[in-house]
Amino acid sequence: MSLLTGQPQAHHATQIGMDVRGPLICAPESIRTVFIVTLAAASAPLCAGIVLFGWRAAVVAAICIGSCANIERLYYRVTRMPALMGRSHAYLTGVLLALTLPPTAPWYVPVVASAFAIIVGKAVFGGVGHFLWQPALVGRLAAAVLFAGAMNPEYWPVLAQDRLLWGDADKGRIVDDWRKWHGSCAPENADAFVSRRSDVVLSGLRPSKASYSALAYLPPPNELPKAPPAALGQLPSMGEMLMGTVPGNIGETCAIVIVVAGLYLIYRNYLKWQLPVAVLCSAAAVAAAAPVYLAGPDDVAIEVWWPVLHQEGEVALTYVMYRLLSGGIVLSAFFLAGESTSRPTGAGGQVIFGAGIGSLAMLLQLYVNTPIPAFMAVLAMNTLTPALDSLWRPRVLGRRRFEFLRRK
Amino acid sequence: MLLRQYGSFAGGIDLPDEKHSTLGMPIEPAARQGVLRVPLAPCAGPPARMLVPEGTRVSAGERIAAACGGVDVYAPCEGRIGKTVDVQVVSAVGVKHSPAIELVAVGQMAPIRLLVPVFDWRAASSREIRTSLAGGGLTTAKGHIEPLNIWVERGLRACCKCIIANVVEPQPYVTSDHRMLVENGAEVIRGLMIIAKALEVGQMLLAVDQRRVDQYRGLVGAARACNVAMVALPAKYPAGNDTLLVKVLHRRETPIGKETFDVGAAVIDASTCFAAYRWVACQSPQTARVVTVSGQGTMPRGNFWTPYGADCQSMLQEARGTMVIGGPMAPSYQADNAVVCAATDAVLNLKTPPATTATPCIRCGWCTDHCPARLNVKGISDAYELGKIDRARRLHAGACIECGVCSYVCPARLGLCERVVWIKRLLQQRPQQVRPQELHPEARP
Ligand code: SF4
Ligand code: SF4
Repeated sequence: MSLLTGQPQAHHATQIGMDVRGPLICAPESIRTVFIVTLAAASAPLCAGIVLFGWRAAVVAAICIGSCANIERLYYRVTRMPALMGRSHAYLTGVLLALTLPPTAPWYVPVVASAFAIIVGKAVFGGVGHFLWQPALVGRLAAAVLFAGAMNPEYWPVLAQDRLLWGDADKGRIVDDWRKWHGSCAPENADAFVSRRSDVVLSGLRPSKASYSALAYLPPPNELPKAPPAALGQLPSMGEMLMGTVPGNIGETCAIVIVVAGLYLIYRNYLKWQLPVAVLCSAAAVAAAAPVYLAGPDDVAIEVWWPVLHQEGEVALTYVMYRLLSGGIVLSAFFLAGESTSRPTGAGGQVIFGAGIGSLAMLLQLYVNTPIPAFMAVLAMNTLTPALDSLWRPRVLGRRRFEFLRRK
Repeated sequence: MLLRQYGSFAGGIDLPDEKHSTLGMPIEPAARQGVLRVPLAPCAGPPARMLVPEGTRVSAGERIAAACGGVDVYAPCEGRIGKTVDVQVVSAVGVKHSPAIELVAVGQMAPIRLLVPVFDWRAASSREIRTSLAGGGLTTAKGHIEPLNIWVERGLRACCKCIIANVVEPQPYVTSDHRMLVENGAEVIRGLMIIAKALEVGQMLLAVDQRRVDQYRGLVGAARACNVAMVALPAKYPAGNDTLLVKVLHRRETPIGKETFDVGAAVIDASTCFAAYRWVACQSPQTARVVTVSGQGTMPRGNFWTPYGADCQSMLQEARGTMVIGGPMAPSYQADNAVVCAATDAVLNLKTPPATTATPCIRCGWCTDHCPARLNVKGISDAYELGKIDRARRLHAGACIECGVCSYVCPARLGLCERVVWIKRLLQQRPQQVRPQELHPEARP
């Protein structure tokens, strides 16, 4: 410690004070801001859903938001715990839940789903910041299990072009030809066309007696099967898939609006771009690589069709796009998987998380008959969040790469 | 001006600049002080030994205490020697109590004048300069305050390859080094060359902020004459941190628990260079420094040439708010009795933040994303709350560079920086074993 020895000055020059004070200025964004901005972004697809599915969607959304807020308040009143985070997170959960419900859900479905979302999804874990599974999806899963009939009808409505916003989604009529939404007029005594959802149509590619007749296509000998174009022919055009004028849950159909709102979240730094990109890329990769089984006309012979091996690349591309745009994958990628708390925090963990969601969602859509493949994939990967979080950490400043592998 | 573009570092944020109010204000001598309390032990080690009895009148620049392991103490301005009192010296690493000598009936501080060199330092050898650096009350100003000659000895032993003068000043409000460089840039550059000669290093860099490059154009000639390369760094906080500066400019990362000497780079600040030049070349001791007085609310703002021992609180006059010594981002310390010393680059008056109840972490990940040391900040904060020091050690809490970014960005307003810095200090002091019971009273065993 002396001039002569020139030792480093001792660190005991200062005692540990209890008075270390952090910075006195802070960024303007608080938790409340985060929730409200996410809520604003999530209301964009909700508005799109209300326009596309009429006032019934607005009612479902209103019930979701109102019951989420009230159930949360009631829960904290009954258990005498102080509500941790105002009501902004309850509103956010309500909006996210509304995005995932079908527009024709009867009034009790959103109430029960909200109760599950708030109590099972959030409160029992200790409230904001502590839950493991995305609460809105917990509510959606409960609704899918409890009201399997109401939540998974065979035919879903979409309003005719001249009945947007004010039409009644419950007054629907079956139409065969889907491709004419653009410029369509409402059928007599009805506001909506009803048809099967695109992922259900595509799942007809699986061998099943009910659907093979429509899809079966016996390829000429010595040629690769060409059946999927036949199935794709039953789907609306790609433009309509992007615009969202196809049957589906309230918030999941309008891909353009979801992507724009998601880009806003990325711009605000609430979402890392790696996560949606990982989800969409892995889903596309699985869709392109996974084989599809086709039923032959005689009910027994099963053809296997590999999308990537199809002669025309365009067909494979269209098929992959249809796969991506159906079944709520886009909504999951930008909103449900990306919500903070239930996703890993680091970029590396999020890539693994997103890849898991995308491939799992696509596999569920392809081979398992489930109404909510993407949402279930998100819930499944949420379970792994803590593990992924500790798996992937950036290298700390001053440590060498892979230092933990070196011998001390 | 050579404006080489260098790489950057991960993390960091864009801070509001907030410097406009004092950026253009020239350095003025501080207002006349009633009493100065000049610290006798600004560095670690025993206080300096008094050379003049109580009641003597001393003139400005007169030596009033001789070093015993620390530095000599000189009278900043003329006055009469009073009692010995106790003051607090605040540096970047903490608060230290020090005896101080009272100087009453103090005269007016003289403005900075250009001095005539009396010593041909360009022809002097490293040894001669080092001998000279031992006097003059020269200390370093960043991190631990230590005598400059001891710092140089350590640098010599570490065989430094380059010396970086850090004039980036990333913190909002603080403009003292900037004004020093604008008004006395040539002397700062010569001081840098003197220290480089003492350290026997060839490569000299002057790191400045990209936003202020226009105002340093006048220095190009002096820099070229001294063979100093000027480097403009992008305006990303905390670009001016010593460790990050070495990482960006020298491409070496400082291992945890080591200092920049260990990777062959010395980092010095503008006011020390200036003082070194004034002492070595002109025999004028270091008795004052430029202090920025600024902040939120009303107070006399400006860059003041302030004598050591001036009372920090009185510089803010009647301002209401929280007094912060140093920048507003780095961890600061409560000190009611603090006086200006070599490390006091700014005295700020900031709005006292409203007492908020803790909100839960929503795992947004921003603390880790923006942490320039890439730490798992939330994990360390949890370890602190649970009293698990070993877990914090495994998470490398010691790598924290004390920038305050984590607390700044956290939307839950958790006091992350305080906790990490607290644990870092604890690990530094007692690297071996810490029992949870010794921790903060909040800690659960
Ligand atoms: S942990 Fe340390 S280095 Fe990281 S942001 Fe916080 S204060 Fe800065
Ligand atoms: S910034 Fe705050 S809220 Fe976000 S993860 Fe870090 S500690 Fe949690």
